[in-house]
Amino acid sequence: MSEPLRVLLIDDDPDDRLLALRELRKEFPDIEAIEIKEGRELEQALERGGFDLAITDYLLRWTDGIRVLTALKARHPDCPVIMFTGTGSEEIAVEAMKNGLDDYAIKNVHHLVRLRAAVHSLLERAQSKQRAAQLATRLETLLSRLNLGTFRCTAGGELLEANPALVQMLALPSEEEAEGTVLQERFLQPDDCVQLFDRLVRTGQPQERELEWRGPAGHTRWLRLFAVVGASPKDNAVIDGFVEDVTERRRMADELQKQQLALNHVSRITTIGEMAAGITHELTQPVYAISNVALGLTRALERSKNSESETVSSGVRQILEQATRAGELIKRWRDFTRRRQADRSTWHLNALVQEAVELTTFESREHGVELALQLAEPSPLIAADRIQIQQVVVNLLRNAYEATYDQPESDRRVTIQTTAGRDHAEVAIRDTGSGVPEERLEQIFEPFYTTKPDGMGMGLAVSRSIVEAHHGRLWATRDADEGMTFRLTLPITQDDETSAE
Amino acid sequence: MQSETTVFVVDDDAAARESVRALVEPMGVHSELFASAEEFLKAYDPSRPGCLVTDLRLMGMSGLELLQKLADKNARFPVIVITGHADVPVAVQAMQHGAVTLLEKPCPELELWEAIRKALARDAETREREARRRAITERIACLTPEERAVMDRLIAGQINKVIASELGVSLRTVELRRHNVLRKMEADSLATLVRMVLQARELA
Repeated sequence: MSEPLRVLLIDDDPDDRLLALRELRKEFPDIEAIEIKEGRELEQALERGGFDLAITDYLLRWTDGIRVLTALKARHPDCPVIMFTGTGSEEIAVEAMKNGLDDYAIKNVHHLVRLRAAVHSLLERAQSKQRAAQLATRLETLLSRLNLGTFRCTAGGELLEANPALVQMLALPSEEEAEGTVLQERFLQPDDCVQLFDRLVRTGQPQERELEWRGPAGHTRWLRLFAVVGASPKDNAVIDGFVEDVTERRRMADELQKQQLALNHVSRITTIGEMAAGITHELTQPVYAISNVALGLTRALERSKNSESETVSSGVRQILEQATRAGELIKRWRDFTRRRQADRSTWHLNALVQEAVELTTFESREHGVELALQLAEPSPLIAADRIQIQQVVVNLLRNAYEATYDQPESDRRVTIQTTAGRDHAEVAIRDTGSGVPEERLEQIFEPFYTTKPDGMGMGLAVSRSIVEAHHGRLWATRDADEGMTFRLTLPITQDDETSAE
Repeated sequence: MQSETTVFVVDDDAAARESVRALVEPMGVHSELFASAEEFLKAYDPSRPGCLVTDLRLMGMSGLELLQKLADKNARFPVIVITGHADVPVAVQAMQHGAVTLLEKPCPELELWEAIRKALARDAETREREARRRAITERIACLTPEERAVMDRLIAGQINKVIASELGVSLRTVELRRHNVLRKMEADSLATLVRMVLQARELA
């Protein structure tokens, strides 16, 4: 302590006071003493306060040490008091300790050292008590700022204590009236709560659980209950715990999951569509060849008047019919794909890109990827199937985020830029990851090529076929300094009738 | 030059181009197959009658570029474009570049054959008209400058008397030259001559 120690010294014998002071100065050289020789002085000193410790004799002319102790503790309950006496007995000592005396030292040359030791340990105790009090205040402030409810309850769930945050959280009448409230009755799953308390008392292991609470207005909130066995002086088990409102967190998690599902769905649909379109295209050539050959054969058979030609020509006829049927199926699927293309509307490229960024915010935020958006003004207009192009941008964004994960968080940056050229608008997505070597830049667009342990390798292949179906281009370049840039171009449309903001 | 009518086929898919041969040969039409536009252009001889069946998407030079090259050579050669993935812009481009038709693979039964048949007929017709025009031009070349002067005026609708006074010759001389023109041009009447010459000019 930087402040000098101030001690209240109550003794009517000047020699004894001197003796005590001299002894104390050996350990506390700059000690300040307020010397009390009579009752009125004590009254005034108690009134003024400003001392750290009191040392009192037992036998005083105007009173006795027990009374002095009582008066002191009444006004300054935290002030340590030592009884320093030559006339003490065990009865007096016990009586004094019962009344809150902190220590006892005997006025005797052999025991003088005890006084110093007593003062020393009392001061330490006072300091740690003060620190504990500060800590408690800090904790209380912290808990109320974090909006954490804290409580102590019986093993049966009856509230013994609750902090203001909990009172508010559970809509209890007041801190005082909260006592006796049965905690589990406040939740929509009282059995779960009782179970938690039982398990806690039985095992002694900390327990936690999310429980639903319904307010008087009928709205519900999700609260997370965390409970431990409390340190109780009595035999009855008490439960200490805190309650956290996790409604918002749960809502965000739900939202994330919903978006993830929606994205997966779009992704799946697009992939299936693209694969079907690819297969249709692959089937075109053989079906075309089969029907040409079959038709040529029918004519050749008509000309030759061979005896077996009837059977053969009926077989060839069937081949021709089936090839025609296959051709019709291919055309029908192609028309379906084309109709989707006809559904294209005009969109603002910037809005489309921004939406894609928002759809992936959870991922970029979770991994601490810093995003920079540089958008062309005014926004270029494009004719597109919004869902498909958004899917492409989302794919590219996710790839870019993931590419940066091998970098420390401070170096994870993704820049998204839109620019407008004469005929084409461009979206450039630049990342700071270590990227793909130059010679693999084209390979990454091939179907089933992947660098991810759990990837299917369809993302970029499908993305490119979507972009090409929009008469655009998609390619990748390595940046000179760091990372990669994926560029996506789409034809600009002049249409003024926009379907999107 | 007399040469057999041929269907030229350009397709980078071997089975696809072979199948066109399997289709047209039983119909009695000769075919020649090429795996690329470049190969075809190297072998191309505008004097050979026939038509071209080409895929649009090829390795190397595309079907559209091939059409462009043929147009640059001023070839009156019917081209049938087939494609596995047609859309409106592609179809418009192909037709603008001079394709006679655009078919989508796979073609229903007789569609391709019908298209080839029409293209061959069209080529034959073009070549026949071309031959006629060439014959008329050759006949005109056999006329003397004096006979040519009379023919031009006859076609312009002038009567013999006016021609004689314009050319400063006798009516008899005009009549003689008119006779020679009809004989050399193999026309049985003035009306036939006029039609013949106008047709040849139109075709030029």
